[in-house]
Amino acid sequence: MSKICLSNSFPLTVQFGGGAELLFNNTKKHDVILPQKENPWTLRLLIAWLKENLLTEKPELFVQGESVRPGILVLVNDQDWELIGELDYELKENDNVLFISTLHGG
Amino acid sequence: MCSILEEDFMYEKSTISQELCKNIDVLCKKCLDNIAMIKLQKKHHYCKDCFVNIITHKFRATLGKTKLIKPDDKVLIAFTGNQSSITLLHLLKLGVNEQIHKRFKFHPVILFIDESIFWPKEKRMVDLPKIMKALKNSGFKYYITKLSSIYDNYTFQDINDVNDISCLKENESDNKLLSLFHNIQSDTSKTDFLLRLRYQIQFKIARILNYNKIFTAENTTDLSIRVLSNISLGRGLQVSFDVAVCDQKIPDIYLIRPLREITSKEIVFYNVFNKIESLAVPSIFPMMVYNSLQHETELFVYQLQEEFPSTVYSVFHIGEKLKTYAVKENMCHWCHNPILLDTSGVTCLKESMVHIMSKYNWDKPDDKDDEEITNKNFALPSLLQRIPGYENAKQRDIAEWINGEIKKDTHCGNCISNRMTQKLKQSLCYGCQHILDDMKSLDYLPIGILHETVAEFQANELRKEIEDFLL
Repeated sequence: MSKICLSNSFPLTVQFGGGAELLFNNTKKHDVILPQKENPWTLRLLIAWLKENLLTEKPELFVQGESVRPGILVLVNDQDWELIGELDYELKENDNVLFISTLHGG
Repeated sequence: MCSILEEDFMYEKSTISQELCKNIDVLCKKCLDNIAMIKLQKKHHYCKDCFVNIITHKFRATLGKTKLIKPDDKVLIAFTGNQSSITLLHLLKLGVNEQIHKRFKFHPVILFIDESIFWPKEKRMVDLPKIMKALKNSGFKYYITKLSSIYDNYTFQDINDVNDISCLKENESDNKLLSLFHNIQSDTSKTDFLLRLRYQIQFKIARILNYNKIFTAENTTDLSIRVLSNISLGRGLQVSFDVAVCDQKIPDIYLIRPLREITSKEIVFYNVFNKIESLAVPSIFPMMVYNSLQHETELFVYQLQEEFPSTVYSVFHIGEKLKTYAVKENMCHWCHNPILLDTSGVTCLKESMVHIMSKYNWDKPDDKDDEEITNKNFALPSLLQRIPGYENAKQRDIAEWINGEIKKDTHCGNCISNRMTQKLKQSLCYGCQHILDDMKSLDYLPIGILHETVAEFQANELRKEIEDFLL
């Protein structure tokens, strides 16, 4: 996906790993542009947006409620999301969000 | 009396949430200098460097504790390409390149078992060359084999050209293996069978290469899930073997788990911090086997872990404390775990046996089902007849009570064929018998496995018979 920067857009890199990429069209790296909003973009909103716009296979393997499924780790700029407020973290432009699944079927 | 008041916690909680709101960077607990990048068990914050050091230390400590690795030992590294096995490879590579006083003195040799037949085709074409490259870059000697090698006498290849993946091209055996998996009805048995199959291949090849030590990349999270799912699968007796740091199911081979003190979260962060890309995908995604008991157990553990961050450790340490006092002679011929012979006290085993037998009566919607059952029971003798010398082998009657149960079952007409199936089953543990029960037909089972299982069983029987006459 080409990266276009518009004045009223919110560019972000979203990456998947550990098998989660298979739920997102088998692509590991997505450069996404989120629509500009009045309220700041949080991880909670990003997960909902991903579910609506990027997810191609079985949503139950990725989301649970408004968060990701237990067993899927979230890293923002290589930092554990537990350190930065989890779902309430306010995304900044050009952040790199990485979702890695540790689930393997037992 | 306890002096901790509830307010203390309240205070602590509020300061933490304030911290998070302000987005203040938390510092590393160890060096108190750098910004923390990972939070473990909801309380330990570490920066990149301290965390990587901790993992390396844990790995070396686990290896040291086993006291089994001697200088110049050759060790077979079971590599699947998943996140843990890539971490293992990285840690080993660091270990052999360390300064002289810390350097590993043993020689790792990699065995890559290719499971890519379960992956989507496009992914296969892209990811296999990447794995080959990772193997080449590791600098270790490596062998390549496939899951389907059970049909080809466990053949493996020693490859030097990274671009040559012709040996991994799909062949007839792959199709047989896929049919075998499609033939297994439940996802639970599929997952269990896959796990046992991997071990089987590792053991066989280690034996062919004459290595007596194998490293596998199972982490704490994997093993704690294994403890619970083993119990639910009727493999409770095998828990201590399946999670041990040194698993000695087979007397002449040590299966060592050097990553058993490292959790899956730590593995992922170790890989991210070291910029190691994950290569292969775990079985659940491509096969979509998410209706299995093992997967449910996995979710259960992860869900609990969210609320109670010590879940994985607690379960894992419980598994560690369990001991099996089993007789070495009575081993399952497929998974090499002990079989409980004296089942007189195990009422649940008897109950579930009766349940399996009467299952055919309970869910018998139409005639097709009936036919399937009959086919299943006839399939085995026809296979066994293909084994040379089997005809002459002495047939022994199976235990009385099992026989009684079969005779009651009118749908299984032929008692002799039943006895054959039971003979095979008798040489398997309860868990493996379940897998066999779940197969629609036994036609796709590799003839080598049948041959070996029955031959070993016959030899054991013979030994028991002449035991009294031996001096």
